[in-house]
Amino acid sequence: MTQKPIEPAGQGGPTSPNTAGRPPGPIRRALRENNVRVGLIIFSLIVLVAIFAPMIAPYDPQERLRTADGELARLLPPQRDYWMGTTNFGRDILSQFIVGTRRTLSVGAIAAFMAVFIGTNVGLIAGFRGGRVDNLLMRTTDAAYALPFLPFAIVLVGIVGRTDLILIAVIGLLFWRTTARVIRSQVLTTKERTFVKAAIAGGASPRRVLYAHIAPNVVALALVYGMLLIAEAVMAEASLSFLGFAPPDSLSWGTIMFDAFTSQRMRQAWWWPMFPGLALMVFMYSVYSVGQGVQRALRHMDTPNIGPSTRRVRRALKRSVSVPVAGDPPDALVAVENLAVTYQPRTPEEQPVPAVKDISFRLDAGQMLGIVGESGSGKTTAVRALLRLLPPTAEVSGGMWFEGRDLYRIGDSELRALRWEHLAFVPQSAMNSLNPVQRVENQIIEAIRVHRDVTRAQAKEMCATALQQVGINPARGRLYPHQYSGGMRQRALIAMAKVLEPTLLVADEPTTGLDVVVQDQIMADLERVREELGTAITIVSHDLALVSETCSSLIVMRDGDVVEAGPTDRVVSDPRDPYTRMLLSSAHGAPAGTHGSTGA
Amino acid sequence: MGARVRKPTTAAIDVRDVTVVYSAARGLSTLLKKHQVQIIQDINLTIQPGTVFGVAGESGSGKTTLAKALTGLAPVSNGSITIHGREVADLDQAEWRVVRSDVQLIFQDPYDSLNPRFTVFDSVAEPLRSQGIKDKPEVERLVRTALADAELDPDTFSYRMPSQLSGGERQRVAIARALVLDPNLIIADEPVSMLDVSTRGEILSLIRKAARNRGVAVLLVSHDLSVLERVCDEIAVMYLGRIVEQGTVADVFCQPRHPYTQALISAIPSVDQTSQRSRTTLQGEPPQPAQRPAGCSFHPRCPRCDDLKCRTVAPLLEGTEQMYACWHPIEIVRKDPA
Repeated sequence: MTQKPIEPAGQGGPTSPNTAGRPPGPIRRALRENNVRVGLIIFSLIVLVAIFAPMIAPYDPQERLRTADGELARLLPPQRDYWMGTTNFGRDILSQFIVGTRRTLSVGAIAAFMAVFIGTNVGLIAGFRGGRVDNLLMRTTDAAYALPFLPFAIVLVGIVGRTDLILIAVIGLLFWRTTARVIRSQVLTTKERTFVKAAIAGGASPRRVLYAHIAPNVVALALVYGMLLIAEAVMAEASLSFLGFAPPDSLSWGTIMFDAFTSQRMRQAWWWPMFPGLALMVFMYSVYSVGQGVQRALRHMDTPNIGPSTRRVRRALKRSVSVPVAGDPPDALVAVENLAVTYQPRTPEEQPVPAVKDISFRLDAGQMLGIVGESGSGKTTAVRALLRLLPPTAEVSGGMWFEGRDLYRIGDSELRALRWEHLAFVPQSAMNSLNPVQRVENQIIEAIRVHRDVTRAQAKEMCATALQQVGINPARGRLYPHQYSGGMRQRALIAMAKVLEPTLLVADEPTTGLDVVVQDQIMADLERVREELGTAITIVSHDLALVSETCSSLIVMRDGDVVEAGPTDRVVSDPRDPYTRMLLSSAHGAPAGTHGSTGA
Repeated sequence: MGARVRKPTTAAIDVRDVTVVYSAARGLSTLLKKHQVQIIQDINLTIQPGTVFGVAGESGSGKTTLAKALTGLAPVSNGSITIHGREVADLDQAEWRVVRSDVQLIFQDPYDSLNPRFTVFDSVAEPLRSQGIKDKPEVERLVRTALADAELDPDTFSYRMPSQLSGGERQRVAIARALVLDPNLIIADEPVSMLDVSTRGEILSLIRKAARNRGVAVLLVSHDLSVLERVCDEIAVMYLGRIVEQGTVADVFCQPRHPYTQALISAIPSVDQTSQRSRTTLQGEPPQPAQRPAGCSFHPRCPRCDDLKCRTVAPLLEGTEQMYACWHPIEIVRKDPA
């Protein structure tokens, strides 16, 4: 099986084959990026240097070296024996650097771990407990933000003295604040997810809810922050050491720069502070590229794949692939012949997905066509292909004509002119696509004036009529979308779609998520549009009963194939495909014997 | 509230005069009573073990709040809830945890109701672990039984992750999780609304089977009457926080007495070509609970409202077998629908 059909999401049952592997985790996903790989290699190298420091270092870092003629090897520039040159006391900078890596990294890592540990727990508890606890912890976090790093460090070192512990404490006690805030906001969202509610309903103790259910779903982010914090902590350690807060005789990248600075020989010995400085930069780069790569991958995983956003659709419009079949334009309003759509894989390991295999239909003015299928059947892809709304990964073949024009041969500008005026589309969940900061009325008026050369007053008039026709009081057009119910938003969109009196209106799942009564009102609106304007309407839906009531012909799709097509009366009274029969039997008003009585 | 002594009944759940009040006010004005909004009001219902009780209504009718109140997730302001003879309306969150093994939930969204980091086995075992059942063979046995009851093969599915399951399979896992503690009551809030049509039937009959075979009472909440019609024994229709009609499925569907029930039934799309149903006569959408109309809450949208009584006096839920709250109920055309 080279081409795996899309699995219908609802194909339940213990016997259903399910071979899909686990989706790649964030780490594996991040590793697909080249700069993440490079970063990881550099980071590993630096860690290896730190681990094996005493074995790699060519000299004892404290040893005063002498040249062959017995002179102290003082301030020698980089050369064969001393790759990074020597100090004014004749010490090998490379050896100091290698041994110093150990301290730099360990102080950084321990401090970062401390910061992430504190921050994660503060964030978890604040977000989970809420109320007074949240307030107290978050105000403490604000206070931590208010503490300036250097003065805080200077005061603390002044009181306690120069020890490694103080360095770690200063970094750890200040840098947890960002982690705490990020984790808290993650907890606030995760807390509202259904599986957390399910755990509470199952009687889980608050402790268990927090540490078994919420924490594992947010700590991935904490790890990313931990990674980024190592970079910050290493930088902070270098700054503090450079300013002379490191314990005497300790070695780190920062102390090498401190020695170079206090020797007052930096002007001659450019190599002395340069190598540790460069190392810091490279280290920061490696940590950030890995950390941010993982963060990107996590964000990608957390966004469920709910189809392309309108912005992406709009961008994709310009690039839609066109593989038309030449032929004479048929005389129907809409003609689709042998339409097939295959999604090309984005990565080499994926297979091309045939979303629509072969679909043909014709639609005349004033007709209503219903395309029925379950999720994954290709019904939405089919109409989006007709409207040239597919992303560039979709390969389209077949012929599509609208008003005698080959939709895949006309230019973008001609297509743009057809849209809305002749060819209106109400996408799925369109009710959420209204601009939230604009009055509903203004959005409709804008749409009118883009296409028609009318005055604002005329457009307003048209808008009022359209709203009236879908049962919305035109006075309420002055409201904002959030002041509308879901049903009203959907009806406003239908008003927007019909206001330019299109010849074809395509509605994708126009009633999903709405109550039956509102669903009935919306279907009545669509029927009225057809009656008053003679508009041809195509409704895409999972609900066979719903479309069978309004549409004169039906297409039933499954896994990209058309399993049945024909006049509604025939399909409903005499279904030929077992799948149609199954859909019919699970619909309301099905013939007796298939399910519970209706008492008709 | 004083202790309300009730005789333990055999019912799985007994709800008496339950009211849930939310405060619409912020800050100090929360202390004033006038800002309080009754989300559900004076709800009475009893569910017997082994039966499925349906609650219908549009969004905003309070059906989800009712489900929450019965699981201790919404504060009950007034009334009594007796689950298996035990009064639970006054329990706080910690006390509720003990009762939880008796009341389980099935949620609407199967794509969000399973912890993405838990295997199927762990998800189903979670309630057992929460209730302190740690004995490994016992947990294994109970989980396998529950999975089998949900018609999922334990060997195939135990170690799958939620991302590898279809919507229907996820909902079966959720059902197994609800069954594993052998509860007396399962509350299912729109359990099939996010599933494909062909899967809905399977899940619904599974819920019905679970009720019959395990003797568990099920409260099924849905806005889709055709869903309720298929599985429920009894049904209550809610409008703006109150039950407006209640009775057996056969009675309510064949002979609705309340005009709202009739409107909901007539709004169900049907593939039956012979009976051309009329489109709903209802206009607009239900008002907000904060702006409850005087008298009968339904009167502004009611096709039968014609006198002052409807606009001023709220009808009570009355009747013996089939109860309805309406001043002008629809007349019974024939007694026997068969």
